[in-house]
Formats: sequence, structure tokens, C-alpha cells
Amino acid sequence: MKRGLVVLDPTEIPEEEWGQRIGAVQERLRAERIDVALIYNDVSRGDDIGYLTNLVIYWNEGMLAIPAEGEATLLTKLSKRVFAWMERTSMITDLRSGQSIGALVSAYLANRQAGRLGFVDADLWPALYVEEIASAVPDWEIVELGAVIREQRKVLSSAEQALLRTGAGVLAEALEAATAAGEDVRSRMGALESVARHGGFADVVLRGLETGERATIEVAAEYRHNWLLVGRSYGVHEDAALIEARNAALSALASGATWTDAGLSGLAALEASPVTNAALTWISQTDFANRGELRAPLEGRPVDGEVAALQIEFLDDAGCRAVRTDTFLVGAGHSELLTN
Amino acid sequence: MALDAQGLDAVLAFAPIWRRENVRYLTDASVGGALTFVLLTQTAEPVAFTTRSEDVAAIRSRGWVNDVRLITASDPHPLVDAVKNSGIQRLGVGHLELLPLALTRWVRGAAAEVVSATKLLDGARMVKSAWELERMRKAARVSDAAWQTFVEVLEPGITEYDIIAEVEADIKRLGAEDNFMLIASGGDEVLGMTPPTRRRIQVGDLVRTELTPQTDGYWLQICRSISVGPVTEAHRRSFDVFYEAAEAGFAAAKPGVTAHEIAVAENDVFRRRGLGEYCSDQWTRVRGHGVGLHLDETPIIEGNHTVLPEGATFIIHPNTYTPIAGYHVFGDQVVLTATGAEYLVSTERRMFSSDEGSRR
Repeated sequence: MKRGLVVLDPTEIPEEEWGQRIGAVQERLRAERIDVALIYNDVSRGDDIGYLTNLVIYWNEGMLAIPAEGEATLLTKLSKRVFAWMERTSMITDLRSGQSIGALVSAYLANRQAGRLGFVDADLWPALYVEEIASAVPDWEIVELGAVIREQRKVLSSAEQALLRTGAGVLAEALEAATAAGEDVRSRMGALESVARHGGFADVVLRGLETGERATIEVAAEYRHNWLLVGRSYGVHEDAALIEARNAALSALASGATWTDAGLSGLAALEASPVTNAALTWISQTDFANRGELRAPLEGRPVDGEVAALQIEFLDDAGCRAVRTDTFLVGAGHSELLTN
Repeated sequence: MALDAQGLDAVLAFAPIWRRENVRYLTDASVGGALTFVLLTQTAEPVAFTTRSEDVAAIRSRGWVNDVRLITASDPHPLVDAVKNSGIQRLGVGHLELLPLALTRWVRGAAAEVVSATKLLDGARMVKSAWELERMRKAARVSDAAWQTFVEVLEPGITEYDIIAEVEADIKRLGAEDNFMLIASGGDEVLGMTPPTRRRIQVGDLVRTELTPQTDGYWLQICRSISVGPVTEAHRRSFDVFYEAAEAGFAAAKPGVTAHEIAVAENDVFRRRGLGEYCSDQWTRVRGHGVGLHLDETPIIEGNHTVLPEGATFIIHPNTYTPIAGYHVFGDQVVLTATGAEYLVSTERRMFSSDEGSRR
């Protein structure tokens, strides 16, 4: 849950950059003849709105309306009592509260000439909300858009990269603390959580599993809207082989290989090892919170400034799962490992 | 389950990441998939579907659902085929209102009629069995420990987010799977709680928190406000109002009571003291709510005539703003027994001070 530190700090992300992010969206809207775009996020998937406004959707759901010209507006069923906090911690100045999604959108569009209303990442919107809004504004043409914001935020700015490296440093300390915390997976998770939260992480999604002598911890952690994904299995004798496979895959990626081919390079590196039946998965940082399960597998080649994770997992003879997951930043000619 | 009464051939429980209570209820498994489902028909064995491979073993290991199939968001055919092949005409979907557009189209193509089964499943979960209550009592011990940590680490100079770091670490060590927690610190300018900031706690502050660890699937909430330094006269007066309101809600709590009646009992305390306006949605959200496998179930508010039966679990918290000391939170989770209600947590129901802390 999002219960960690929430900060809006102009020394971290300059104000102009926030304006540029909204501006880039609006440019695309105009190119696609969309008059207003609606972005729906929930507490488990709030990164589009976070990226555009710094607002943290810590409650159930929220919607951001972006017109092709003008400022963005938050539409929410949450009480106005916390609007002051939202204004302090985000770039949003127009916040509107109401009882129903349809009524909120209808009121928002009331003074606009009917046009084309775009639903960003439409496939992931609750269908009933789409239908409720369509019914509330029958004069508007509904347009189902793809992952417009996700595509835009895939490549990190230099400011975001700096924040991600800061977060990676904290997470490295957290992993060290988890390693030192003893055999018990709960102790490891507690140690990791402590360092990460004290270090300013907003969200730490932890899953731990203990099977015999093996303990596995997998964490997706959010630092200022930038995510890191890490998986570690303790008591795994094959860890060196997993690291070798990871390095081979990242090396291939840096040499210009596609995601698919780089994955095959990683698997090839495991052939001489005791690891059998390994699975290798690339996950975009834009989807770390749900481990990429809402998207199709990555295709093509990465671009500079993109962040992804490589997850390598296998089942041993006893059927116990072991995993090694690391996050990296794609750069010119090399991949910078952010977790190790 | 009352499928016949609802005219349903089957129920499909859908769990997005933030609403997994129905899948947990039917499988007893802690799943991690972005999309999970359980299909429950009138006659066949239940079938689970998940986007995460590790969930397969996790669900099977609990023993309630043995047929577990992998799906992807873009290819839910195993799920769609199962619905089609079962000859389901009228399908009830738990959390239909959250089912993504693409999946909704698939599901609507698989059954002649698709309706919401959210209320049906909410009703099924409302009455807790003895086995569930045993788990909730165990979860309550984690909530008690969480509050204890909160008191121990609170001191002038500590930031809001550092307090939460300490609490999170301790409850994870105790086995909590997750936690929902809000906080607010300061004086009578505070209108509500939010995630933590960098604000440093000061002597004279009232620090409010809503702590909700999830242990073995069950959320267990506790609300307290604590003075930093000696308890001020305003903090004491404010506490007296909230304590009396919570006690009034507790006194009204017995099997067959409605959520409305409990809310009225709490709000009447404010009204008698001339603070009735602070019971409106301008100042507060609810006077409590159901808590179980989801942390925010049926609301305890005036106008909600949901009947609460024996075995229902909910928190009574008259949290709101008043001019006495600003936003104040106080409340505990209860279970309705045959004759009344029983608190699930053991934390003392009194005003606390940071001077009691011992971890420094």
C-alpha cells in the first residue's frame, strides 16, 4: 500500500518538466484530434497520474482529465477534506469531487462543445465506468486510446534517472539489511521494509516465501514514482549461474539485440549450468507494480533511457522456485545495473 | 452459496490487485497475480485462473481449489472456454464494476447474461466463522503491536514517514502481509489524514493514525490519536467526545442492528454537545465500516440500512474534525456476538501520550 513518504520537491523535478509532460500529452491529443483525454488510475496502478502531476492515488481510484488546451483536472469521489494535501503534494490546482464518475465527467464537460473524448489505456478501464461516462455525455464521441502516457513515461528524463539511482542506493542498503537479518523470511522482510521506508520509498510491495532452507523475497518498490524490481532467493546454490545468465542477456541487449534475442542469450548461458527449465522475462519499469502481467511481452529493441527488469526463475528438483530479478537502465552501448 | 436464489448458474469472482477479498475467501490463498479469478458453478469443482505462475502452487497448497489455470491479460481463453464449456447462461461476476473493458468483452461473449455478484459475495463474507474469527484475533495481536510501536517511537523531532517506517518494519516481522495506514500531525488546523510527509513532530501536536495490518488475509484496524508531550486540555476534551461516541456505537452494536443505527448512536453524542455539523460529509467520511478480507466494507453511516448479523466484524470509529482539537480519530474493530459485541483488539481505550514511549 502507498503509505510511505510523498514529496513534491522542485529540486528533484523542476517545474518546467511537469509542464513539458502535460504539454507532450496535449500535443499528441491535438495530433489525434482528441478534445479531452481521461486517465483512470487506481491504488495499485497510479503511475500515469503520478507521472503527470506527482499526485499519489493512495485511496481507491482517481481520474485525470486533460484537455487538448488548458490545465489538467482531477476528478475524484474522495472528500474535499484532503484537497489541501493534494495541492501541496502535486501540480494539480483544479480538483473536483463528486458522488459518481459519470456525473463528475458530465459536469466537467458541461461548458465545452461536444467533441472526441479519449479514454487512455481503455482496455484497462473498468467497463462499467466507460459505459457510465458514455451514457452521461451522449453527445461526445468515445475514443478508445492505447497506453499513451505509459509510452511517454517509458524513457526517463535525467532528473528521473537521478532519482532512480538515489532509490537504487537505498534499496541496495535495504537488501543488505535483509541478507544480514537472518534465516527467517519475516525478519528479512522487516529489515528491508525499515531501510526502504526510512529512505523515503512511497510504496514497497513485498512478497516472501519460505520453502525448506530456501527463502525468496520479491519486491517492487516506488521511489518518487520511479520503480525498482528485485527478486532474491536465499540458500540457492545456482545463484552464480543466474547472475552469469543475467549478465549475458544484458550484454546482448547492450550490443543491439532485441528483447527476445537477448533473452535467448541469457538462456544459452545457463545451458552449461545445473539450472534446467529456466524462464526469463523482461519487464518494463512502467509495469513493475503488476510485474508486466497486464501487457504483452516486450518486443523490438530497447531505447536509451528506458528502464526494465530481468527476471530469471527456475524450479529445482524438489519443485521449489528460485528467482533472480534485477533492474537496469538502458544506456548507449551498455546497460547500467541498478540493483545487484 | 445462494446461486439459486439469485437465479445464477455460476459466480465468477474477479480480483484486481486492490480487491482480492473474494478470491481469498474462496481459495484461502495469498495470490500475487495482477488478475485472478475463481469460477464457482452449481455442480462442478471450482476453477481458479491467474496471470502469475507462482499463484498456481499457492492456491493448490491451500486445498480448496485444485484446478488452477494460467491466463494472460491479452489471452484469457482458458477462462472464457471454461465459462462457455460449462453451459452457463446467467453468470454473476464479483467485482463486475471493476472488470477491465477488454476482459468484460470476453466474458460477455462467453455467457448469455452477465450480472454483478458483488453484493452476493459481500453478503457471503459478512458473517465470519469461528475459524475466521480465530484468525482475526491473531491479526488483532499484530494491530496491537503496531500501535505499541507507534507509541514507542513517537517523539518530538521524528518525521511522519520515519514513524511509519518503524511500524511497517515491526508488523512485517510479526507476519503482516500488508498494511493500510494514514497519519496526520499538528494542531486544530488538521482536517484529515493522508500518507506521511517530511513534517517533524512537535511538542503539543496531536498525532492521528489509522493502522490496518493484514495478517493471514484479514485486515484488523485500530484508530488512535496521541498527544506529543503532556496531554493538553484540548486533547483531553476532544478525546472525551470521541470516546463517548465510540462507546455509544459499541452499546448499540448487537445482532440485527443496522449500520444506520450504530451511526446514529455515535452522531447523537456529537449532536448533544452542539457538534452535530461535524458529522456531515463535509468533515468526515464514515462512522466506521466493515473490515474483514477487505479493509473497507459496508459503511457505518446514517442511511445505510444494511443489517449486521452475529459474526459481522466492523470498526466503530467516529473520526471527524471538530474545533476542539482538529481532526481526531478513535475506534476499534468489533465482532457481533449472540448478545452484543466484543472488541477484537486489546489496546487500551484511552488517551495516550508520547511521554509513554520507551524506544529512545
